[in-house]
Amino acid sequence: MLEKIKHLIRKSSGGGQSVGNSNSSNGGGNSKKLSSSTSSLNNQEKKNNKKQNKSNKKLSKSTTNIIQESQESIDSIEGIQPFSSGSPTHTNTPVNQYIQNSFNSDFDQENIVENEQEYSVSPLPCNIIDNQSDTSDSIAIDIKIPPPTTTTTTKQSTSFLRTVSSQLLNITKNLKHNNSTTTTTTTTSSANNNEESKEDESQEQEQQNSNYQSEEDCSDYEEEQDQDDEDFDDIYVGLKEIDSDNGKNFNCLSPDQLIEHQHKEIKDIAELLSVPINSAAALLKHFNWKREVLISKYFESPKEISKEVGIEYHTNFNNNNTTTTTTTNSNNSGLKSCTICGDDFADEDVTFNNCQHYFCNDCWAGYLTSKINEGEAMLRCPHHKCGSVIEDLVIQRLVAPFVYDKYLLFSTKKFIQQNQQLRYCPTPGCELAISVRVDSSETSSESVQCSCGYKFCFKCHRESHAPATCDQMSLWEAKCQDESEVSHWKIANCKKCPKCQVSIEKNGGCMHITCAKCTHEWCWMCQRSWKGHNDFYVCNRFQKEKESKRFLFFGKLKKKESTEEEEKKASLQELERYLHYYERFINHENSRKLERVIREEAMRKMEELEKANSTWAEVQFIEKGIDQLLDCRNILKFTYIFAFFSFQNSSQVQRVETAKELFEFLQEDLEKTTEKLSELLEDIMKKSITLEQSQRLEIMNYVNFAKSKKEGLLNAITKDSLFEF
Amino acid sequence: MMNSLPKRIIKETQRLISEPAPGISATPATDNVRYFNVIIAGPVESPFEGGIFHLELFLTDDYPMSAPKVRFLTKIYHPNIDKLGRICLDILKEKWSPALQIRTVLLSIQALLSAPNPDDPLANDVAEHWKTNEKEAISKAKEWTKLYANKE
Ligand SMILES: [Zn+2]
Ligand SMILES: [Zn+2]
Ligand SMILES: [Zn+2]
Ligand SMILES: [Zn+2]
Ligand SMILES: [Zn+2]
Ligand SMILES: [Zn+2]
Repeated sequence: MLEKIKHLIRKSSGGGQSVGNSNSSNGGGNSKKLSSSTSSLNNQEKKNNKKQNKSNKKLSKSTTNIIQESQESIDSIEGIQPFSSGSPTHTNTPVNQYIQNSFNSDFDQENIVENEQEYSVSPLPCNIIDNQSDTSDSIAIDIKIPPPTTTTTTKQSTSFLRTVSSQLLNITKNLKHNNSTTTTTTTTSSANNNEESKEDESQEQEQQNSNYQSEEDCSDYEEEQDQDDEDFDDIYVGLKEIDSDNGKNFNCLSPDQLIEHQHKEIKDIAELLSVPINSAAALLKHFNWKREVLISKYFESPKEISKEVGIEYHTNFNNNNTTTTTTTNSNNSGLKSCTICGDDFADEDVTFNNCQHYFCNDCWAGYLTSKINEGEAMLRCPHHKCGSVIEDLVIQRLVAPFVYDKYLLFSTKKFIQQNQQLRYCPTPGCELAISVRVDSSETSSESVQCSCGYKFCFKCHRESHAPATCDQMSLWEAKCQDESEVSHWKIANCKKCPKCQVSIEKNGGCMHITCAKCTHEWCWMCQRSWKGHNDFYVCNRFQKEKESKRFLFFGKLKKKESTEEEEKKASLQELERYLHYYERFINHENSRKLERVIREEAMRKMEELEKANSTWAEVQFIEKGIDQLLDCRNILKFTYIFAFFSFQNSSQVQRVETAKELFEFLQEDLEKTTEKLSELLEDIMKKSITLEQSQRLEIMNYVNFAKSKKEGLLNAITKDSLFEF
Repeated sequence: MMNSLPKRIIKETQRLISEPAPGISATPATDNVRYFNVIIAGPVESPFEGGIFHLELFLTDDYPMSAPKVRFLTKIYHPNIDKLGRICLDILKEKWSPALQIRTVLLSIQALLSAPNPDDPLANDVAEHWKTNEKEAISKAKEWTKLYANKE
């Protein structure tokens, strides 16, 4: 018996897997089927009612039985938990003013929240997003639960080390790829491209080829207007493909699709247990959508469970055959007395539930409406101690449409809470949910993107934080809370010009700062001169001398007695290390905020250009560019958290040191590309209505570079190939 | 919410008066038909035997969608009834069903007097007493019955 159950569970979970993609063609088929079967159920129910009307005596007998036997076994009904809000929406207000305000007010946290609701990512990373606790405790047989969280950071890094797989080649390939793209960078403007060298390049590389191709066409712009337009479309399609080839293992579901999703689950259970659709729905709701619990309990004692849930027990139910073993009893129709209001009613004014209890339609409506307004997602028969589940169809017939909609919302929420593959999008006001594929065992792919544009972590509900892990995020947030908040704010937003010492407040996303007073050009990150910056200085690294000093220092500590002074120094060093990463983290965060403002501007710019003399396809690249830029910023931002925790003992372990170097190489590469893209886009915004082709193509190329570099970096991290040397 | 008295309340009241349950009397107040003066006689073979217990029962506007409010006015030593006379009874709370009536509520309270349930207590110290030394607790309940539940 147990084997059979196991087998069935396995079978059922197989069915569950396909649910993820059910919003495509086969979804329509399902709903069609479903509606036909529900209508037959409707008929069946009517029949039941008729039968029921015929015998009052028999009815009261059976109800008392139900009362006695159902008893306390009914699960207590859980309330609906409000979903966490607290996530950034994408509206914008002038950020300069924001920074000004916040800075002037000496970092008044409340003030910031007030001024800056639209970001709600407060300037401190510690409050990034409300952490939503996961309350579901369902037994998931077919779902891979993420491995237990590592508690300390050292454990984290050693676990990285332990997982040495055979992907050494992969990283070398990545590096090669990166190098080759860097070389192409230099040749883009001249539109030269050597097709021979592309042997094992990815699709993106081909994508670039097509871009070069079109650039050549563009030189004939005036002569072949029509053909040209086609080419622009090609370009756009190309850009679109870049977006869609993410290998998504998640889906975005609308409220309707969520309901469809539920129907699918109900249908699966109906087939599995050989019960009618409405019984399956009642069973699933009774067991809080915990199908495994339901299945095992049902196979153990189907009769008892059926009674408890208030459905008919079918010894051998066939879904196509609706004739069931109902108690057929006739009764000469007379008036029926409603036990709630005490009035007598004609047959058509009362409604029976599956448990055979009946009430007048007004009392039903009153009862159901008050329960729904209380937030109840699980409606049961109002008769004392009767736990029978009320079917959706009955509810729909009895309550006002807007109340029914409310009910559907609550029951969908409940459904999502119980389902480990489903999450609501945390954006306030967004009704969409994300469904991840069961078979995506890759724990690295927690980052999902809702159709509303918001990217978030499926596991922890924070804003998308790749490549940092959820654990690292928690540690980081705790760490940030420990450190002084005021010093953070100052570090992040105000710096002195290295030349004339005037205080400069950053007001653009770009790291390239030009002092308004002395016109000195310098890098916001490392505060060195911008001139030759890209060739000589690397500003993403925590300087090695600093670190080696620190560890020499620790080496001494081991031998000698540690004095108070030395301890003080050590904690200062540690703070320094932390601030190094924090500063870079927040720099990208702030740039990203500012660049979001640019996004609004860009939209206006696009409209402007379109009105002037460009086609929609021609200006599309601006939006693509901004989106790629924001994406890279976010990744870069979290690379510093990742680095802070992953390379903690880099000076002690050679392998970690190598990994760190490699990582910083990739990080720097992406950083440079991102800065270049940022600069190019800022240029576009400043320009008048005339748009130069070369600018457009340069940006499009940088979008591609940024994308492939971003992926190279993420791949190196997620596949742990960083640590393979 | 409702200005006119629902038919159900009228019916229930009529029936409570015309065919009262044994040991229970419930009469609506003259100035407020939703307010009932209730008397329950202590059940035989219980520590409350011989006692006359006064209660008040009030039907809120959304009765029968929500349970009636019931409270003991007479002091009573019982693990499920606290100092203020509030009663710990599931059907008065989460197990309330609109299909229940005043009569069933009062019968349930009467049954609670016959069978106290110290495992689901409201008055913690009394329940503790009941669990640790049932004999002594029962004698105290009897004492209280004599002391407080003897007036008409
Ligand atoms: Zn009614
Ligand atoms: Zn029922
Ligand atoms: Zn959304
Ligand atoms: Zn996360
Ligand atoms: Zn200066
Ligand atoms: Zn720099």
